[in-house]
Amino acid sequence: MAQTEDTDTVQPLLQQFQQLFFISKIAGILPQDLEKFRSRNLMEKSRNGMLYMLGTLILYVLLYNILIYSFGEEDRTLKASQSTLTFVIGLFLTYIGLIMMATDQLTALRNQGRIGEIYERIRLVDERLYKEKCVMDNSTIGRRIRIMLVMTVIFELSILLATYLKLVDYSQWMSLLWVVSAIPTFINTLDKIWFAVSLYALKERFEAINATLEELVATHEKYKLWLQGDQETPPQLDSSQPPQYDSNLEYLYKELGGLDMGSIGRNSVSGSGKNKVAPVAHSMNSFGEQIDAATGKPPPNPLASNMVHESELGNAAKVEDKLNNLCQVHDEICEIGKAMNELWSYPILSLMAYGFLIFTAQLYFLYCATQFQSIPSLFRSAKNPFITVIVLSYTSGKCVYLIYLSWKTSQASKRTGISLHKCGVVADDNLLYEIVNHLSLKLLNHSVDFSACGFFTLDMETLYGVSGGITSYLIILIQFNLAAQQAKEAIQTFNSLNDTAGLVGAATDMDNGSSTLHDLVTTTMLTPTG
Amino acid sequence: MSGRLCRVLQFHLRLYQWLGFHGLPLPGDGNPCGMRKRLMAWSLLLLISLSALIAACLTSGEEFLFLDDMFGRVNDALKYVFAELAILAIYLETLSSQRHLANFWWLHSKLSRKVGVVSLRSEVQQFRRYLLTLYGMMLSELVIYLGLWQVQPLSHHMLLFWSTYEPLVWLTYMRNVQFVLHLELLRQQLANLERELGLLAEYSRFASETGRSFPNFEVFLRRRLLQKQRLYCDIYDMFKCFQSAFKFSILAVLLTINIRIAVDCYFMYYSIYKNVPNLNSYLIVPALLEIPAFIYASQSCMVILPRIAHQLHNIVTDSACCSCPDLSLQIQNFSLQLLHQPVRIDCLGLTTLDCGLLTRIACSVGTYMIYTIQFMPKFSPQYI
Amino acid sequence: MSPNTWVIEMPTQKARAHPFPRRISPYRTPSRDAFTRDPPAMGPSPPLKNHDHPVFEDIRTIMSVLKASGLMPIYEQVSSYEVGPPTKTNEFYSFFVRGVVHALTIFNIYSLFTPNSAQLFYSYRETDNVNQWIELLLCILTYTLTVFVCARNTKNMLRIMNEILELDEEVRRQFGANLNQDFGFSVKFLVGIAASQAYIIVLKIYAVQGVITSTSYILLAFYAIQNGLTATYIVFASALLRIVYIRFHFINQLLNGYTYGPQQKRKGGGRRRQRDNINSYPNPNSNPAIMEHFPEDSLFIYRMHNKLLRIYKGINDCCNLILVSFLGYSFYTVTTNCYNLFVQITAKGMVSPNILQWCLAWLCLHVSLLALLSRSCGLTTREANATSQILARVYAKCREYKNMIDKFLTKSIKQEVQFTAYGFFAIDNSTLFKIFSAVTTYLVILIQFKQLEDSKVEDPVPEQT
Repeated sequence: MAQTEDTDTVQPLLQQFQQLFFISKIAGILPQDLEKFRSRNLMEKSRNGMLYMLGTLILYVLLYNILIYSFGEEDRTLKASQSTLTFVIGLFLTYIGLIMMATDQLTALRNQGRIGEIYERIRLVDERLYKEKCVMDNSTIGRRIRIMLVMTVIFELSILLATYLKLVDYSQWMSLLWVVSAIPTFINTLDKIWFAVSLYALKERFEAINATLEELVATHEKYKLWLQGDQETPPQLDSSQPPQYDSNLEYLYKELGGLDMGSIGRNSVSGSGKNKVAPVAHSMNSFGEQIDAATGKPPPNPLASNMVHESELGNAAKVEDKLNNLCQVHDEICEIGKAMNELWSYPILSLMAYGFLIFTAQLYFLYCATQFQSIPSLFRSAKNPFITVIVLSYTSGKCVYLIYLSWKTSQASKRTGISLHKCGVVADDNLLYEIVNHLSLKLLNHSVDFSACGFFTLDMETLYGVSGGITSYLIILIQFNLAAQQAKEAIQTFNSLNDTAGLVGAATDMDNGSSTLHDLVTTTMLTPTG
Repeated sequence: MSGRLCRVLQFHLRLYQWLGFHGLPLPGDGNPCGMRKRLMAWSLLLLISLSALIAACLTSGEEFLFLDDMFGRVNDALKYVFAELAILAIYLETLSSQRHLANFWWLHSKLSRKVGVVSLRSEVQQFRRYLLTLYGMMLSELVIYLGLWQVQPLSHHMLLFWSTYEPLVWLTYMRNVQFVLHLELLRQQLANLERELGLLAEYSRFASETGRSFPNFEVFLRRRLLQKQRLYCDIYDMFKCFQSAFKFSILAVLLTINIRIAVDCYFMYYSIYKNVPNLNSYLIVPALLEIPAFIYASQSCMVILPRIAHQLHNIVTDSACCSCPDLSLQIQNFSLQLLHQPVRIDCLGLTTLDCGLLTRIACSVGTYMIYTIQFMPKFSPQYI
Repeated sequence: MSPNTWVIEMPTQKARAHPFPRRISPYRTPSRDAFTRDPPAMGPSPPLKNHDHPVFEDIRTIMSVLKASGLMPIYEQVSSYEVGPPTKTNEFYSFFVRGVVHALTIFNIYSLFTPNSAQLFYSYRETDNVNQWIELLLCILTYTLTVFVCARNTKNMLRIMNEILELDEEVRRQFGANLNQDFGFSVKFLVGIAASQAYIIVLKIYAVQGVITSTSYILLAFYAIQNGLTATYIVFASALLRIVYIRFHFINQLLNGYTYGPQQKRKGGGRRRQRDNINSYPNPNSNPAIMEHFPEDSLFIYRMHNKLLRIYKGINDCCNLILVSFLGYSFYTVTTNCYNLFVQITAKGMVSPNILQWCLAWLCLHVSLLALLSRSCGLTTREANATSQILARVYAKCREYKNMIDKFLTKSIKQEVQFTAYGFFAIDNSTLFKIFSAVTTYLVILIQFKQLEDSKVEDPVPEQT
């Protein structure tokens, strides 16, 4: 009976993924079985799905290559005129989207057995949390998925349509192939939505643990107040004590603070009672009294008519199990996070590489376009600043959101320790202190940090480094571009001025160039990079 | 009078209210609800008018931007755009993060409940760092301006540019000093905690050395420690509130000042190279002082934490008169709490605001300067 | 109630003195079912290996290469768990080899600065010539440093080896586990290094015009040997790290048996390491049975962890100077070769397959070495840091056990283990990333300059003709 109740009340997380799964399945991102997912929310291996997925992968690669070929005619003339670096980088940049997509799909193929396990583990965690009276609400996740899907579609469509209408010559039927250019990013985004939403689910679980702990603290404070209320004043009166602290701030605190500040407020009343005792000689006695009041009173409480005031923290032995369980769940969530990170490590690495390259390239090509230089045909969206802004916000939004989310998740996991200590401090009981110390040491050793194959961690510091990298690359590229343009112009004017002395001029130019090279290399060697 | 702020704070918070940075009524204001609404409206009005000013500057045909040269024009435009960014971040944050700010001040009033009236002198003494930063900054800016006007004739462009740009700069500086004020309050709390822990450690050492203490000494110590633990919890909450109340504007202000320094340095080099007499560059001196002032404030907050831990472990637990396992348990608990709640001031987790940041900023500005300087002048004048 | 929670009583030594192996290692027979096996069948005494059983059999090949080149002492095997210092003749041999190496190095440097080596530097352009020069000097520096450091650290190396062996013996006594593993990668790398060096020599010989003088041959051969041996030393360091990694992994696995492990519970304890202890408990999943051996095991694990950390640090001390110079050398080589490769590919019409292959060979060698080094460092570091994380997953009911756990966790709070390059930076996967990003930055700058030069050289010419 208990079992069925558990399974009834704990909704599997995957229930919220129905639409996403359907779309991913159609697009060929996940090989798992559709029917089983629909009926039982299970992700199981499926041979047909695998074949279908491989088929889509090959189809996409083919289409993309045709696209590059058919739009690449301009590029062939470009190669002759333009610097080789721009061309090679352009070629690389055109394929990085494809590489990213292939990484996503192949990783999904590799992981097809293991993704299901992750969600199964999350379900088990939910069950354990449920046993600790902490019910997870998954409906926000469903909403989140829908919002993300809509955002993706809007972004993709706006980029595609705007570029198609403004920058592609749509008189030829081949231009319809331009639609293919959106496929890699779309597939990648869908894949990342899976990751982001699962990560968000983990973060919610961490927050649920924290909330449970905070609630323990809050109830214990109420309980303590109630005990004090026996001796002094009822707790309702604490709001009608304007001389205690300023009425304005009291007002603000009520107005703005909401619920959780309320708990702090009550804390302050009990705390202020202790703060009053300043002189050393007296304090001891009064504290001694208070200890008696705190420890001696609760168990034989005769006035237990009001059953609302009951605190779990009062009973250390009882609460130990609960804290232990929460700690274990915390560890399990950390482990799930690590496993998830491992599953998605290559896609994330490729996404970050893609984001960095595309961001830099798009800005650089935007600059090139403003200088009326030719740019690779696949980056024609850079010709229009408005489309560029959309592309940049789409790409960077994906990367930054993932980074931000993983940072937030690890912050949430670190908060658990703080909440745990609050429990200890509020209860002020030796046995509980021991438990808290033990668990707090454990929590210090639970680590959930997300990294891309161990190359770099996904946190805000990386974002700082990446933005610094993008800036310096842009400055280097633009400066060189500028210098090359100026050199070209200068040579042309120079040549037209005196044709005969051309060779001599070239020789001096070269001298100059190498000395600049020498200068720059020495200076850059001396300055630290990044 | 316990809820009242001291006069220095009252005065400066009123100042920030006038600038639209502090969207909360002060203690002693009548009708706080209406006051808050009026303050919010004032912030919004300032935001809109300043944005309109910047937009007008950027688009108008007047000589707001440097017109002679494409390069100088882009530089000036860049400065305006980033100033707009900072203004936007500052006012939007003032409007949106009132809850955290209220929480901060509430915690502050809770933690620093003073008895009796403090003389103005001691108040000034208490806030000397902050006052020094604020008035030093204002003074240096003023002196440089006056000096410049004495030396250099004011052209039309300069008048237009500086009369519009300078207020924006001044606002970012004031915001920066506001951060310093909050950090200073935080630092005082932490320093207080450290001092009190130091006293406790001294008591315990005295007791263990002389063997003289009153009965229940260890229980007393334990109670005091518990109280300190609660205090630290509140201070940590205060720090968190500071972080969430100011996170975006810290980033925006630092970025703006940074960009200004980089652009001005480059421009200075450019004008020196082109032999254009330009003394405007000296105006970046206050900007150069702003960032260290802020970073110094945050650094001095952060360095107290290890000292607190040190004082905590200085408390003697094993001695003849007091060998209480509960006490060491409490100390252990506190030190673990300190480990879990590190005061690490960072803007949005991007980078820790300690003195290392100064080196990093200097490095990055230097690197960019080298890239840019290497190219720009070398080629153009040689051939043309 | 212990008087002070920070002090825990250590059980006496006798608890550990087991007469026979208690457990089966997860390594030797990973899938063995513990219940079918009769505990006495293991034999009351560990099967003593013969004395002629060589130690470090798993990295024998690479050891013999290093011994022959004088980088490692030719140690004597005292017992199967101890090595002794080399005999006088062997020591003299190592001395002799090192002397020859240094003499050759001096000769090499001399000929580099005289026209003797002009033949080898026929190169196409001035800057490349300088590049090769610097590369050669870096190579010489790295190898000389390797020889010096190795000669100085002979005793330390022997001590480290002895410590490893001692640890192995202890593990063997306690758990009957044989921690040897297949180190096939080291042999593969050796072959790869030799092949690439030979290939490079052949390429170089083909590239040189005219008759090659004997000096050039010597120079080339010595250059190849230097490179090869430096690379071999790096592979050796990685193999040592791998050895340490296996030990760390072993104790982590051991500790894993005590964790609450919900995922393992779900599988009915199938994945849990089965243990045939003396009174072979019927229900291995019940908590008391699992925790029964916890105190002695945990103490053993702490001790082993400490020892391993010491060994790890010892290895780091022995080779960090070498690592610094090797990383610098590698970084330089990778950058210049990438640059050359790029120049070759983009040069219009005059692609030289010789230089292309040369660059590719160098790139393959150095990139794979860098990857190997950073990977093994990263793995070992992660495993060393994982111990405390796994221990944090052990939930004990008993107060003493808790104190034991707390003790170790407290110790490891601020103890971040890292493999550093002379304290300059930590070597792990992120190092690889940093090196490659730096290479990319330099490449972009260099290539841009190249283009700037080219655009200025090329443009006037067509207008002239």
